[in-house]
Amino acid sequence: MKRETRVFYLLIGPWIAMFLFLNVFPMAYSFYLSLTTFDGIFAPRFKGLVNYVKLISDYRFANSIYNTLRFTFFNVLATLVFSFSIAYLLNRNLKGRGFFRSIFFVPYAVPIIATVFIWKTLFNRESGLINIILALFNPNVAQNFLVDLPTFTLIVMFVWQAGGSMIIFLAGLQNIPKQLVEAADIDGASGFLKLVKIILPLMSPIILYQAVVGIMLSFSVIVQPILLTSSPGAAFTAFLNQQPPLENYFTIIYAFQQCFTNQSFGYGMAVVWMMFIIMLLLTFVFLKIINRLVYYEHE
Amino acid sequence: MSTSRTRVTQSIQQVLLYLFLSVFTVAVLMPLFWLVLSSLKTQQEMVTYPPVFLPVKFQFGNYLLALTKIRYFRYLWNTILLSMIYTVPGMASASIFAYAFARFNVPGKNFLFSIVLVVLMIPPVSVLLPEYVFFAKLKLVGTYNIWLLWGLGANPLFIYLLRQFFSYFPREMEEAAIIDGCSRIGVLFRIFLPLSKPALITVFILSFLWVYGDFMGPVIFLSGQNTTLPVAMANGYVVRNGILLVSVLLSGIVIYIIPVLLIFIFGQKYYIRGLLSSSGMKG
Repeated sequence: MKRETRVFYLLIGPWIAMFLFLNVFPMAYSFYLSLTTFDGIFAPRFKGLVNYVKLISDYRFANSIYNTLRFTFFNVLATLVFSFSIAYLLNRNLKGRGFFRSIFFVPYAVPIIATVFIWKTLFNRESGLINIILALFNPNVAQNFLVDLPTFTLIVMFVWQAGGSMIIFLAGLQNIPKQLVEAADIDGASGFLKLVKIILPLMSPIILYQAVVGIMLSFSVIVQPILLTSSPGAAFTAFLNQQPPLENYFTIIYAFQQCFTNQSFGYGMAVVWMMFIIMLLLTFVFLKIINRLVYYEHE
Repeated sequence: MSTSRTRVTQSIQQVLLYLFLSVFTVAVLMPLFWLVLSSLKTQQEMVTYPPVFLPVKFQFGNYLLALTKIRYFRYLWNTILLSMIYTVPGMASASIFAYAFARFNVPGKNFLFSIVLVVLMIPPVSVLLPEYVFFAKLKLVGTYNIWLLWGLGANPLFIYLLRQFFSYFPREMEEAAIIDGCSRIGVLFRIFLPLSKPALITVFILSFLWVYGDFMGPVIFLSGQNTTLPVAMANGYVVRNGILLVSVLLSGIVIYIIPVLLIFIFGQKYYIRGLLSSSGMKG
């Protein structure tokens, strides 16, 4: 072997080892467990595809998938539209642009638990600010958001934290060659035309990337729906036993509860694996459909 | 005529834009403002209807109670310790892996790097359950070793960030050093890392905040006195009859996020640059 190759694998060897240890082995082991019944205490018993067959007729699983897909769709859509619009508005000669950029970016850094309790307080039926503001317009429209509109509440929270994608969109917009936009200006193109014909096509790879990351992130949302409506005083170990509102009961929550509440780790792993498969299929189909609309510069 | 008319339309547009952005600024900052206001209310004021905007009297005692009701500083220390256990080895190994990916031209490299890119897209929470069953089998659950291992395995985002940064360095620089007798790994530690301060600061901030803000990791893997501040707070501010002391909890949260906001304000320049290079763009 060449010396260069030897040194490279010497340096990267620990990474390969850790990748196997932290990713491949856990995945393989969890897949094996999904083919067994395992209560976390006694040795797993091999059962073949029994758990997967059971999944097909499990209405709670089907329901959780429906909830996850619905949440994913609206969450990705709202976050993208919102962060792109703000980036688009900020992408011009504007005094104080840096200031606005920083402000809109702040919520992105707020830790998850702070975010949840802030919005829990804001959406509170009795003392929440949102209802104070709504009451200014019409005292009868006060809503019990956390209970009656749980998915909406969740998405508002994610949109509040969309500053991360805004920054990335903003950088993408600034990388668009000036000549292209100026040429369109000379031809007298309207702002809307420039957006649709030039800016959106050039931005489409970034939008696509953000959408895919958004899909994956939406599938792994678990803390927010549980904590938003958790009853106080539940013992810490019981965090995972809490029931979020039905619409916010996502597949990943179901998987965790199968493991920790029901002690059925085998079935829980089957739920996780099914979730992975659905997530990958969804991403794949999404890419297939959308790829026709995406403009890649090197083509 | 027409130019002055466009100028008028333009300035109207400008005014509307500023108006919108200002309203928006208020809307974005309001939740944080509301957090501070609520943390200063009494338990009674948190549940009254119709709601009150300002507390009758600022309850600074909530903050004292937040610090004493749970062993606040112990959990804060746990959180910081855990962040460092993850961050320090994580930065070392990410630098080495990034250097190998940036500067070696060997078969198999691109394949390995594409694995890094795939792992980068997978949200950590979604693989937490498989990791749990595996770590439980190895009797690692309940220890901070898990974070050490995660650190040593290096976060793919940090490998990616540092690799991008290293790849901008001119090749002549390291060639000259190697002719002068510097080893390949010496190039990393003597030349690359000292020149990579901005990238290293980005990685440090991201890495530290990652663990500091994490909730699910400690919930699954730690328990009791070992856990971190966010988990302890979510559970600790309860009086015997099961009532949550909301404003005390919010006071605890205010103290908890102050370091985050400080790091964020002073490190924002780096933080943003880090995010940008992670999406393959230069800021």
